[in-house]
Amino acid sequence: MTDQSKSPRLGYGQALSLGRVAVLATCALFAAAPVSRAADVGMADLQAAARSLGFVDSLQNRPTISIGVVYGADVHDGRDQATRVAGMLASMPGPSSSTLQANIVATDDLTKSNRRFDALYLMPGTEASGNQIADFIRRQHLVSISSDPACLDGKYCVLMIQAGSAVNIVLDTALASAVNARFSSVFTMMVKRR
Amino acid sequence: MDYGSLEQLFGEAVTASATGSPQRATEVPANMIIVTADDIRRSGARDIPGILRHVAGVDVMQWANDNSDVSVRGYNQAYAARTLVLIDGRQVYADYYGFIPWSALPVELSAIRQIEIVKGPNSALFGFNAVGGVINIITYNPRYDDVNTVSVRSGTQGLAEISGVTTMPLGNLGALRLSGGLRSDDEFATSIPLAMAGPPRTANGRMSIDADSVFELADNVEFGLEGSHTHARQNEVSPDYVWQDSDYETNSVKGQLTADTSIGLLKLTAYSNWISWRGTGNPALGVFSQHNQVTVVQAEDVFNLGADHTLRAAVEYRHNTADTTPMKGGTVSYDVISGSGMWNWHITPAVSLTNALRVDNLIWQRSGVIPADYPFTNQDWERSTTQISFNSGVLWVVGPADKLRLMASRGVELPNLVESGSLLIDLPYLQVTGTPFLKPTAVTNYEFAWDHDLPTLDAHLQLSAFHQHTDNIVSVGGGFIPTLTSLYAAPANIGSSDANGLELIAGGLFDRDWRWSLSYRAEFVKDNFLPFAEGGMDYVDYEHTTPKHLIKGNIGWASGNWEVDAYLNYQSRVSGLQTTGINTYLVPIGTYASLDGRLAYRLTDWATVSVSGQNLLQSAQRQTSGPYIERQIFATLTLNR
Repeated sequence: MTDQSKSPRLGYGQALSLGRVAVLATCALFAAAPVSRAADVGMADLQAAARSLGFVDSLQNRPTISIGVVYGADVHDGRDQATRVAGMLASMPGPSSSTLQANIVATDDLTKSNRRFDALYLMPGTEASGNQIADFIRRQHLVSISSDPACLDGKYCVLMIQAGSAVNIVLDTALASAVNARFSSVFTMMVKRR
Repeated sequence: MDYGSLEQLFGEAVTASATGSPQRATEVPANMIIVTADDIRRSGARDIPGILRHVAGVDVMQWANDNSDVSVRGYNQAYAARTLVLIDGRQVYADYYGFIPWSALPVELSAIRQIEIVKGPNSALFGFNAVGGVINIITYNPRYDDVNTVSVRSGTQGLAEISGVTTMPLGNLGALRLSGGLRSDDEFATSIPLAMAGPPRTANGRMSIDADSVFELADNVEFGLEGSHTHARQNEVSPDYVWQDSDYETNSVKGQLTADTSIGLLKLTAYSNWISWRGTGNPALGVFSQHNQVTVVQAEDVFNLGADHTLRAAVEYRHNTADTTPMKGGTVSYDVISGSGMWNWHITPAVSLTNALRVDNLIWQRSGVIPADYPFTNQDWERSTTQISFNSGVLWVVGPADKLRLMASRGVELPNLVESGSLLIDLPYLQVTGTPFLKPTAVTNYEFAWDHDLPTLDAHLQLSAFHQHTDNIVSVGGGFIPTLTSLYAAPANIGSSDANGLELIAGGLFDRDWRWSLSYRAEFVKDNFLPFAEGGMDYVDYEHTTPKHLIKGNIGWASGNWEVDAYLNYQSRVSGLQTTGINTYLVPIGTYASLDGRLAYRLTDWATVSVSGQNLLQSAQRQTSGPYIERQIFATLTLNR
């Protein structure tokens, strides 16, 4: 006889209950520590974001465009993912032969940082700091870009850009006006506006 | 508009040819096909009709080595005038007749970024004559594009051609594009039908030069200045189906000021086109010559209104004048003042509605000498007409893979200057004149289109159905006006025509290196002409000359340094027109299939050699009522920097 015979056997219903507990526990864990969805940000999203900056009046003919890659300080793996995104941005050509510089910055450090940016790229998971980001870009007159549609409802991204099978760009015209960002008319006619 | 940056951003072609407002190709409220520079290169074609013959739903009648007529959705004929052709928004057709002498266009294939083909009327945006469709040729912008290419070509029928384009900065604030070409070739040696007999064949030739500059006057303010000159000599078939030897000389000057402002995208454009034609057709009539000048001034503003509306408001003035020929001393002209508007409304994120309306007021004039015993006085031309064109379209993005379009449009084709009086033959044995009393031709089009993406197959499908009604069709013959001592032949409105059609277009990529496309168009035309014009008896017949079935296919492979493409065209049995001298009759043209192809090898990063062929299946083939078309093979060396 083995110990196995003494092991408590789980019925189907009990197994299901335990499964539910596991799922709930996992959900609770993720709710407590926001998960980085940075993996959702792909090269195509970033290329579209970088190209869109070429249609911002104030950034035209700039030899260098400095982008702050903003990540949620409380997001698991957020810093690593932001570092990865910053590396990808810095490796790609900017609009009109400009050079892109990208530096990461945590949402908590956004207002403390002395670094000057020309634009912000918002990593997914920054929605908790949406108000803070919105205040910052208004003060600094920055265009903020994210691939997370939630940023539109939170009113802290000027552009929402997703590049899936088709490129989807939504421009928040009120926020663009609030940050004094003027886009070329051709660009505004070709994107969705809200 | 920086087409290159926008195309890179959106991952698809962009256009302003549907509504006047910049749009992604997949979002236009029109049935449009965009032929890209890549498509042009891989077509292997040596001229624009050679490219267009591969485009779904486009009809090309090749009469001679350098002479083709192009139409959209049938209704093709010699000197076809239902399609408006523009280069960067400047109309380039021979305005005195409204047709396109393609060799005389001041554009090199390597200078073209894309060719936009809008099917159906689009007069509400472009004005008169955009009734069958619009072909807008978009060239590289010297400010945004860096293009340096030279092509040298040689082939059968004595073809020798050199063509080049280069862009360069002009200081810090300007840029220039220079392009030019020289071509010579022999005419096909196939026999000319007796009914078309005209002067002997001559060698064809073409010389073209174009200079296009753009200057940044201030932030967001740009000024463009363009000038062009072409000289082309070609054998061709005249509108009365006679073989003729034609010599075209064109000049143009265009200035354009654009400003991106807080009140929208403002554009002021002014241009003049001069075209001189010298033709020898019927030896009894001697040499004809025609001098035509058109001047156009346009002002427009395209602007956003809130988040959901884009509007366009425009005004235009046009002056078009031609001297009478072959009897000199008279001038026929018209002035047009137009107002137009476009409203694009995103009703929901998935549904948009576009409406465009244009009102043209036209005033005819004639001055100068009139022959004795002429049926008109100059005062007869003191007439005006007001015409309305519209385009409406609903685009419904049903889901990620499906789009539906519903479109309705009305376009107007003016009687051209030749038909309106600039043609004036006053010989003892023949009197021919244009008339000021022709009614404009109006085309109304209703259309449904469904686009479906098949991402798993990397393919795309489009199905469209259309109904088109044409009123007041004009024939160059048919009207007879008696005077005291003679009888003048004149153009006449001969009736109407209806077309119902179905178009299926599919295409895609597979196995990484392969691409394919297949299109089928079924079109059924019913002419309702006056009795004397029925059955092709009066220079016009669309019912029997429009093919009922048109199939086009392409398969291409590109890997490493190699590119191979093959294009198949199939056209069902039709009839063509030939002349008896005083009227026309129908002759049968059998079903035919033709094959074009290109094989290219990239020698280095900057040098490519290719061999192309057209009409490869037979050494000579009947495709029109004119001479048989010969097989053509040519080699091209292209140098890029």
